[in-house]
Amino acid sequence: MAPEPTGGFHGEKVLIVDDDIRNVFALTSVLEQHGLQVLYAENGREGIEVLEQHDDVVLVLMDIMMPEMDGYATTAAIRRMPQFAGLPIIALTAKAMKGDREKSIDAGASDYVTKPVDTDHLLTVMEHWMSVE
Amino acid sequence: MVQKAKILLVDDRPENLLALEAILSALDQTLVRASSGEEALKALLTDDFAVILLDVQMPGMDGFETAAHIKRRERTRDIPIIFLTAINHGPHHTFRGYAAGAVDYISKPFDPWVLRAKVSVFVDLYMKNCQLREQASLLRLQLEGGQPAAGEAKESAGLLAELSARLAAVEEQAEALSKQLDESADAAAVATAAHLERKLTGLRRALDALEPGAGSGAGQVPSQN
Repeated sequence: MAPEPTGGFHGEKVLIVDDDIRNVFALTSVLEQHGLQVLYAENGREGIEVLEQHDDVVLVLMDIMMPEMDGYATTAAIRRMPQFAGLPIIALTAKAMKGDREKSIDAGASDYVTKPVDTDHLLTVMEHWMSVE
Repeated sequence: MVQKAKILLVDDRPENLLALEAILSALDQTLVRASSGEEALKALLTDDFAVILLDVQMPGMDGFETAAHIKRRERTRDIPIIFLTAINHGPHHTFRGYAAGAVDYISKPFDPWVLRAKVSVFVDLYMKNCQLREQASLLRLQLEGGQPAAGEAKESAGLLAELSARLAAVEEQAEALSKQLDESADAAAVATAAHLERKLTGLRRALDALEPGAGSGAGQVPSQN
């Protein structure tokens, strides 16, 4: 019962790294409705594992606030792996934290979107980075 | 082709999960346990389930919140949920909000036989739906193949007959299931069965339209869904 893609996506695989399962579930639901396939990891270490197992992931949504290995550390670690040098990583940062934006770009994120996530904006940003090759 | 269905068991108490497993093991399906609403959502992100048994009272994310998340996601919206509840003061109002989905409830302490029977109905429905989907995709492939060349006509007639026979088998089983359900007061299961029958009718019409000679019936190609 695969939902018909309603957006500009055609089954591309994206990875969400976030420890808040409510968030992940809600986000997954939106992305699936727009024709994306979603993988998920609940921490940075697991996120890297998933990336290594699925070489067809085209984009990563990275929550910044995670226990242990946070989004900065995870992003930096992914960027150190040559095969992921060009992989778009979009950081999900808290709105109130002004420094988050610079810190995530410094860590190697391609872009950032503030939480709570405005899904239309997120989709636009994702579409942009997925069309950049 | 006959795969086992997955059943998701959600309860924060290990002893309750154990009891559920003991009751349902006779169904010979794959039982997946989750000890919180969060764990249940995680399981639902990676797997498809035939039915979910969901404890209402859990610390943190309770059964209702978990169900609300499940109902909001297109891919999980139609999975039947059976609430396991100890609350015996008129649960009906609580469930009204879920009227659209196949939601059911069972009060604790529950009768193992009743629970097993309910779950097994949903597993049957799930299996039939899987079969149906498989046949629908076969049909679609056939349609997408477009007009077969003269040489392929015979082959496609054979495929049509095969499809028709397989569909007939499903129809027969669905009918039997509906009869069986007529005697039960399980409104959710009845609704799901009716849905299944409607889908089957649509599939049969689509198949009939494909039959050679059906063309004279004039362009009554039924719309999908």
